[in-house]
Amino acid sequence: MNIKRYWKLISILAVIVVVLTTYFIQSSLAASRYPNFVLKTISGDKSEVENITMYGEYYQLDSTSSGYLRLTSEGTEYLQEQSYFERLNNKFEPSEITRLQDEYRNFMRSKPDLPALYFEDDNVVAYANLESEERWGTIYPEDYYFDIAVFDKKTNDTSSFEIEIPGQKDYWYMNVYDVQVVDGMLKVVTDVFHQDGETEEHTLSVYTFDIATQKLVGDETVLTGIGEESEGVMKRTSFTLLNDADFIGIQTNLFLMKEESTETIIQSKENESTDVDTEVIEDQVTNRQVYVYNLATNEMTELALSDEIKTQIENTPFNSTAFIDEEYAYFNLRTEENLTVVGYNIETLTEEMKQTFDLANLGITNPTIRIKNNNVYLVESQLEDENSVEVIVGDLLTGDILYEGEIVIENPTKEQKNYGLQLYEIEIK
Amino acid sequence: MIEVKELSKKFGRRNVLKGVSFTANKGEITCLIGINGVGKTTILNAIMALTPVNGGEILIDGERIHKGSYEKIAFIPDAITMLPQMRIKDAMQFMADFYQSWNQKRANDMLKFFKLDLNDKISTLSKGNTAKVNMLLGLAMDVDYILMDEPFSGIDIFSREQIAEVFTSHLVEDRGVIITTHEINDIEHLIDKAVLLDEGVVLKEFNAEEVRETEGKSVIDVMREVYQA
Amino acid sequence: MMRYIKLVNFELGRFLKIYLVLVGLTLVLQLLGVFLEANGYLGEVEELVVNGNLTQEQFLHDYGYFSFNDVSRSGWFIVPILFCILTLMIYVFFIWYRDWVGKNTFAYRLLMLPTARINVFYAKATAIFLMVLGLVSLQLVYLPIENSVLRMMVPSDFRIDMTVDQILNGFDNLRVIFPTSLIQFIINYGIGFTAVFVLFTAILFERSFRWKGIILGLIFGAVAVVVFISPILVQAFVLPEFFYPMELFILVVITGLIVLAGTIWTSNFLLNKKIRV
Repeated sequence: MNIKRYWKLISILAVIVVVLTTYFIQSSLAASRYPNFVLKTISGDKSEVENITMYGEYYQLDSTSSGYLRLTSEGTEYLQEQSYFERLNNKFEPSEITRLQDEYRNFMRSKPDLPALYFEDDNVVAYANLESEERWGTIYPEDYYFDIAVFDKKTNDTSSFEIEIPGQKDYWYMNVYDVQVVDGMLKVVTDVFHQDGETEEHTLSVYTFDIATQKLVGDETVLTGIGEESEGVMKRTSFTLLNDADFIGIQTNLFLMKEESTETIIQSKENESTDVDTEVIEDQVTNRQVYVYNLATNEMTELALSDEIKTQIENTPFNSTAFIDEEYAYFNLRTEENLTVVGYNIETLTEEMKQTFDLANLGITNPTIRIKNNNVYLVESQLEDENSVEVIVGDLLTGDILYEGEIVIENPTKEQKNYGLQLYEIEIK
Repeated sequence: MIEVKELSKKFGRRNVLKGVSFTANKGEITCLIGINGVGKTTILNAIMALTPVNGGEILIDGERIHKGSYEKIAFIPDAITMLPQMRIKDAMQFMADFYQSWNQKRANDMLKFFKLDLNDKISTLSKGNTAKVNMLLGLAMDVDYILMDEPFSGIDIFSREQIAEVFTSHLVEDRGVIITTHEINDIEHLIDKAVLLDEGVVLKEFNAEEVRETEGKSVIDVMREVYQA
Repeated sequence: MMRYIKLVNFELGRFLKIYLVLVGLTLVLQLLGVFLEANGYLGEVEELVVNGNLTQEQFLHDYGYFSFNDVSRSGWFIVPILFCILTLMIYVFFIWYRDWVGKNTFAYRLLMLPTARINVFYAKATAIFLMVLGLVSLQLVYLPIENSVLRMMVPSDFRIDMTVDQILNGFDNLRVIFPTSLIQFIINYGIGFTAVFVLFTAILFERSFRWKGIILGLIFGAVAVVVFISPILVQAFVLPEFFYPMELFILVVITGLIVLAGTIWTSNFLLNKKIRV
């Protein structure tokens, strides 16, 4: 065989092999194209932030380059720089759901990625969701039924069943808030909208199922509210579960907020140039109350709020997450400059703790707030004018600032100086 | 021996071949005779597995055609089967690359005989010279059988003579040859066996020599009898 | 095997001239792009900073630094790439039809080679793959060359240097052709080459059955697509969210291999039993 006659094949093969091998070897060795964000301590002990993981997005302002990042006190990792299979497995932002998927692979198949629908303790993993079927010929679009599955950790058995919701002929929307198991009873906290003539009734109900017999054994209405419209004023009632929806462990006490509000159409005029009616709607909160519902005893108590807190709750934008740990249920209240955290004893339901942090003084304007182990963690949710993001850890028992730091780029290059950073999730381990 | 048994072929609804059977022996020139469109080319294509058939069987030395058969049987279609941009030497190189049965010495001899230039591009050749190159590419192979489709059609008289000369030479000796034609005159004296085709069937298959000796008839006489009966 | 290699070399040779034109044209046009884009930028620098009243800082604030992105997002850079893609896509068809069309029907010769006919199929496919990968490789060689021309033209105060990796990541739509991870590269080109196999089989259907073959080829293509994405269809419509991503990935790899095997088997069958010259 005369090698020379194969020069076309040999040269093209050589180019491909040499170039592609070099390229992939080089790019696997290449330095990151993303900036390395680090948590720089200004004051306090670095150990205070070792348990924080922050998730967010970085983007360069003068190009389309952007990346999803995970930032810890160790440094930054980018989703884009994970290997193909790491990305495929979608574990960049681990959650309780991904943990359940790892541990109970088959049980978790075909189940949605919503922590509110799950419960886990030492004995079971439980799941409840509302499914619906088209209901023809009525204005109420769907027939709702509960889809329930319980995995017994002792026997490795799964029992699953579907139960039609009784008396739902005029229900038009249902939604699951939380799932709990108390003494072999599966409790599903459910938001229900139904129509009663002209008015719309809104209830928060707890459906109880006996896991052993797979029967619906109770249907407790916990809160009710009315929605109606008259003369351009719309009254609404909404319920919020203040407990952390992403927490899937035991939460016997449910902290519930009932909010009544009005929507008023205050302006309606024809825009001359475009012929479009413009409506300006004004929202106003008229009442907010916080209740505690004990799933074990089915008892409902209104949380005794001090007058000061009550006024504040009614007049300030309310951060809808309460943080509940073994001892306390914490509420946080924001004003322009201050953050106040109030802690209620879970057993006695009395106010036992109150700390106020001067945000303006700490140089923080719009923080994401997390509370854990009697510490409050404040992280500026996005980069403002300066090239750094504040991170504060405060002690709720003493009101002291334990740690103050900032997130900055380590050795930024010329183009990395013009960037944006948004942190959308803070996780405290 | 090439055996064609009950070969049938449809083009759409039209039955072109309706059970054609004949044999072609090694050492003989077998001529498929019939008017244009009778399916002569189709038969050759079918023997070379260049077109699917609807029925029947073709055996080459007792076996169905397979990839190794192409070292044993060569087909010279009526147009040259080389790329027009190739020079004659490229075409010969191609044949040498792919066929073990390619005989370069014989190719060189024929090149000389046909007075062809190695460096001529196929696309620039005259019709006659193109036919000669086509012939050369088939005949220069050490194969047992050669199929030729209308080797004389549309070629000038001198080329025709040269090609006819090939048939009487050692180039064809000992091989089995099947040629098709719609016009017998030029080659009547060359053929050993004639297969007369019409309307998709074999009307008569006969040995030219035998008929000449026993019945005193030429191939054309037999054709006249058969086609005008 | 030897005949397959010879056929690949032969097929490459048949397209070599046009291929070299593509290779050359891409480099020339892209270099021209570097030159013109950089000149345009430097013209603005000249006008506003040297002759005008903007300071260098103000200029950079308003107009930004010059980087390879300014080149790689211009038509000078993208059009030759699109032209190469288009040419090769057309050649996927032409590589077969050129053997059937015209008076010198080379198909006779290819089908009468003393080798399995599927080798002709493999050789044509291999030639396409090599030409595609060759162009991709050469683009990867061109980038550092073009990059250094850019560096020579634009002073460092006005430019942001980019690595080849950064350039490729700035490609947006073209990233599918230049994936920066090896696995992604294998996946993208695996799918691409499987598609070429499917197209080849569809062409063979047409060559075997002519008009009827076009319909058969289209059906074959549709079936191939459905089989290939069947795990995703199952995931979407039959068993919602049933498979985990890794399982889905493995299933799609399996269906991809089934499609590949199906095209090869079908093509082999058509070439041996149904093909017409």
